[in-house]
Amino acid sequence: MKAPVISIIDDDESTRTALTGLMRARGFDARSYASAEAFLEAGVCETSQCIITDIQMPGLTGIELKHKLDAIKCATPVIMITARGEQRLHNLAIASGPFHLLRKPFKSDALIAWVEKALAG
Amino acid sequence: MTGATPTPEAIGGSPPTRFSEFLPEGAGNETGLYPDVDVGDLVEEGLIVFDLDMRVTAWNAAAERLYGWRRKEVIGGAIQAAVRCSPSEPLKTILAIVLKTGAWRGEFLRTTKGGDAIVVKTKWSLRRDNNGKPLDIVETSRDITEVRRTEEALRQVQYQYQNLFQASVASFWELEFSEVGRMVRELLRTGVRDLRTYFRNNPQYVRSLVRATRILDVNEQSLAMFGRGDREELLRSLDPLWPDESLHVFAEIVVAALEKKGHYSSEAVFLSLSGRRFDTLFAVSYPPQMLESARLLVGIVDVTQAKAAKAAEEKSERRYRDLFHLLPVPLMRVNSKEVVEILDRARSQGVIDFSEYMRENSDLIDKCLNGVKIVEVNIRTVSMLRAQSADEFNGSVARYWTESPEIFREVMAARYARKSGYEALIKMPAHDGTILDVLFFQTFASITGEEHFSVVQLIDVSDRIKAQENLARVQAEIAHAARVSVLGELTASIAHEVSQPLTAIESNTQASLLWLDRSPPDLDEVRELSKRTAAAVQRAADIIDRIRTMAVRTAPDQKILELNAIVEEAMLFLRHEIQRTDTEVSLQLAADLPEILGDRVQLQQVLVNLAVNAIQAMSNSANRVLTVRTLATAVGDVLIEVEDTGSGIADELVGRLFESFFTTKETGMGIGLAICRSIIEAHGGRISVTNREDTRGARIAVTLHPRPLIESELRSAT
Repeated sequence: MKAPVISIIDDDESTRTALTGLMRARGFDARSYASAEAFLEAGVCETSQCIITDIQMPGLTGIELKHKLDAIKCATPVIMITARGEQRLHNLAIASGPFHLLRKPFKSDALIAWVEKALAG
Repeated sequence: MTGATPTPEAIGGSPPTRFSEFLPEGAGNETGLYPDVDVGDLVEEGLIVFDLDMRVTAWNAAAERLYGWRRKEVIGGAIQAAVRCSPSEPLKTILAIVLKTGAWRGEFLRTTKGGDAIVVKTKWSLRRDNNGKPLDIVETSRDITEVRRTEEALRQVQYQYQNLFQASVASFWELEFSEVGRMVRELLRTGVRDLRTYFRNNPQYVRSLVRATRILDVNEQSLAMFGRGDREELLRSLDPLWPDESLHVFAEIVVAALEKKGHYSSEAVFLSLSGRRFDTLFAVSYPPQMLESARLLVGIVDVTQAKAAKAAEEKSERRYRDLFHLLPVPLMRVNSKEVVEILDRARSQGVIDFSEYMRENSDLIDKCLNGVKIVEVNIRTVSMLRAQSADEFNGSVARYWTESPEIFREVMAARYARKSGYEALIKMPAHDGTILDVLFFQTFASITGEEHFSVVQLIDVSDRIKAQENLARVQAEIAHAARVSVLGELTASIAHEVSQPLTAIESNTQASLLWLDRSPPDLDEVRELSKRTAAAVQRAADIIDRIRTMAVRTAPDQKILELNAIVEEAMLFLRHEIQRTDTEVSLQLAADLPEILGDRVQLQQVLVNLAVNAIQAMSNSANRVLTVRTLATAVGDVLIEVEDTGSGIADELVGRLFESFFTTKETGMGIGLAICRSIIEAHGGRISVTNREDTRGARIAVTLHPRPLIESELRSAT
């Protein structure tokens, strides 16, 4: 069976590399993108089984990305992560309808658990 | 003539009377040569006859003119109904005099048919019949209303020009502003409606009004204040005395005149001919009789010279009293006889320091307070202290000193030291309980025979002080809000910055575990992840370093500084916080402290920070004393100690206080003291904390090196 494709979008290089490494270690086919634009250009929305995206990024934010995905009717579950603590931002994020929102720093176990939940549909 | 009308029994019955009967003896009534009426009408004075029932029996033409009643309207009626009189003495008394002596002279205030009040000078003469029995009373009267009016006007003139004008310590100007009136009327004709706004937008126009105003007369005080010895030199345009900064006041004078206000008072700055600047309180009054001739009266009190009020006491009592009631500042005249006696006793006992003497004799202050008796107050004092009338001011001044007893002590000490007066800002309770901020000036009289009396001048500055306090509070609130918002920003960005490497570290560690769990474990992956983890840890450390340098911002300035000045400035900065928290401050600043080299702003930040920490540490203490001490150490360093009377610092925490992000406060960031240490270390100094050994509380000690000697000093030192 082919490993599930997990797309990771984060402008922070150390986080991106770490999450990709984590997903790879867990046995997934992890792909990483430094921006939402790069992810959209790659045209892998449909082939990804789960998308992990940071919210605060230069260019398109994670929330805007979710709106774009909705617009092209891509139903791939999106897990959002953020290091910001403002309630307003959280409310905005939740309103865009992600599969889940995780606040950094989070336990890797928790992220893996949510990814597996997303894959199980 | 109401209420005092005598009963017929008291005076005796009387028959009807004819004019002919009381004509001068031998005037021809017996011969019938003169008809009654003609004779009476020849008299220019009002001639009235009434019987002892007070019924009018004769009324001549002059009386008709004087009172407005026709003869036929009053004959047979009561005299009091015809003249509606306010006698200067009870009627009974007057009648008794007439019956006893046969005549009475005096003045009546009467009312005419038309309702006008008139003053008449009157003579009553008693006529008796052949048996000597009282018959009736002949009244002759003359209208002296105009005479009285003229006298009143004369009195007013004297009042204004002799008493007020010359007797006063205030400078008085009589101004002529007919040209100003003409200009303003012209302006109104051109359609200007809101003069205030127009004046505000056209200062050069107001200046032209000032220029058009002439000084008609000035008093001696004006000559001394504003002139150069030559009175004529002052009696010109107002222009040179009125600086630009007071133009708005002139505009208000004009507006107040147009609004028909009785007076207008304000603070204003004036210039003397020689260019001296005066801060003054001044008042303009617009007496109607002066306004008619386009003149007005300006009174000016030089606030900087308020103490010189004692000059007034050299003037006559009457003049002084007029001044007292006329000056547009609240005044109180007190009799301090008992205090003077207390002071004299102390002198005879050889007391040198009266303050000390009062401290030793605790009942003395009350004796002094009760020994200052209010003699009189002027109307301004009544309104300022929110009383209903001057009658409420009696007894001693004690009730006004309940909020500032320590200043009263100083007043007494000043009096003892034979100072000419005393001034201070005090808190004074008004009669309605409001606490006012009042500028208090007292002049101790030095005129022989008048030693007991002195004048107290009060100026209510509550509004200004309240405004200042409000401003300070708003500023503090804004500053606080700014700090909170900056801190919020800082917290959020620190959290964001630090959480990135933490996430990476967590993920890398988890991934490493997953690789190790595989069989066989993938050690190359783990090695790679460990390297990345180490890099992420380094990144977190870099972030913390960066925050610290960001807070300290720049490399410290290297200026020669006096530490004591920096301490005082920092305390000034904290004045509001200190007041708000009711903290007592003890500044113990060493004289001759060596100068240091450093950054004024950064060192102030350190001091403010340490002091704020100290104040906060005492928030739950009953006794809140903040001590800031500077001293030179034995090795020539400069030491600053900041002590509080809080609960001190737990021993196990003493060593950690200066670590970044270490805090004992619920809402603290744990950055303040770390930054303080960074700043002090950047200055080559040390900072340390201990608990106080003399009392509960903490002490922070900052040591700084003195500045190096410069070359010239080195040369002169060797």
